[in-house]
Amino acid sequence: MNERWSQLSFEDRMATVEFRVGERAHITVDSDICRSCTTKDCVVACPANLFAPTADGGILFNYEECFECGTCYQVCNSEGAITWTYPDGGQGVVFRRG
Amino acid sequence: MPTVARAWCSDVADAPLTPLVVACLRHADQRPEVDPLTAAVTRAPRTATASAADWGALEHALRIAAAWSGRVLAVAAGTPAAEDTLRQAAAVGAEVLRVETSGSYVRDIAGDERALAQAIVAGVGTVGQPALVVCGDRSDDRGTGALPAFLAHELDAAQALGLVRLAVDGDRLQGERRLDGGRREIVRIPRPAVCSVEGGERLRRASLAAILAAADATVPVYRATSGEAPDERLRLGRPRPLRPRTQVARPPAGDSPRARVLHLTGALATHEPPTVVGPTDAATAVDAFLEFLDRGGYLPQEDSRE
Ligand code: SF4
Ligand code: SF4
Repeated sequence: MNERWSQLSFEDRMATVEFRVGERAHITVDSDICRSCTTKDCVVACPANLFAPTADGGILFNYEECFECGTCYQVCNSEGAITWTYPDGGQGVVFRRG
Repeated sequence: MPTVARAWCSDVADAPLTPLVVACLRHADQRPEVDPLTAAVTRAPRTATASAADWGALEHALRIAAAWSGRVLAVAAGTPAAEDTLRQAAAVGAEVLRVETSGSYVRDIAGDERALAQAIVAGVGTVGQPALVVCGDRSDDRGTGALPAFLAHELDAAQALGLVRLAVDGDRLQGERRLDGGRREIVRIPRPAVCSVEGGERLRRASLAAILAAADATVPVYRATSGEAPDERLRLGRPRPLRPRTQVARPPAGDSPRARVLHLTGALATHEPPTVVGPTDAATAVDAFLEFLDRGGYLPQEDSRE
């Protein structure tokens, strides 16, 4: 995995939160736009590892374990590739206070 | 009072100078249920008995006592429920003793096992001085494996722990222990000793008559009077998710939020953009792989020119 998050293993990071998965995908990715993206920043930047490159150059995205951190929206430089909203009320990530 | 001890070892119980071999058994539920969400443990008293390692320890004790013409004492610490386990030991010919310990499971786990070892040694002392104590190397209930070492300390005896084999070697014992890398070590163990064994040895079967007789017998009880206070240095808390220490992170460089996030995540700095090669045929995959090696400078110069 990405060196930058290595102080905490991926499993431990995911275990610190709970996800209430809503019916509606709060983030959508337009794989057609991603095909022309050469850097694929989102794949490396997403702390929850939710972006996976596909063989045809596009992106497979899964919104269910999203931390709602907004990193993907920040790093993506392609207009319209990511549509980002918060999940509906009562859904989404639940951070615990340890 | 007729006891299991007298009923089953009448031929040796009256001979005070015969060596005493003690088998320590821990009465515990072998298949407790653990709630994956809350980590609450549910125990069923019906299925509680000693672990395979403990029964193996009893079988070793019986064999060694037979070789030394000694007697066997099976001891279990705990509530009256532990008498079920002791009756099974009585049915195969051991004298038995229950050491009454107070305190809940949680108090027990918070305390170290030294108090338990003291109670067991005091209880065994009422029967005789042991030449050998054999324990299972772990139990399913807690199972820290520390008890044999504490027993050895209390008895001022030699200790050999985690044995896979234990045999009589004249007046001494010979044990075999696993070492790293698949090697074995053979140790000579003087008397008195405390040994813990792995669960490879199966306990002999008791006859039906012995089982029926043991079922009604009274199990002698020793009530420990001191040394039961848990160690206050250890405290138990609620199970919680891991919470790493907070660390001070330097603010990332960059004028725009995007530049700062890129700096923080290293999305552009530390990697080659992810690519998926395939699905493809073998020849194209090999070409792509060689191209990658060439690009990374992993191939000698002449190879890359081909
Ligand atoms: S989401 Fe943005 S950064 Fe990720 S592949 Fe698509 S265009 Fe590139
Ligand atoms: S908001 Fe954060 S966690 Fe969710 S997909 Fe984007 S980068 Fe990943």
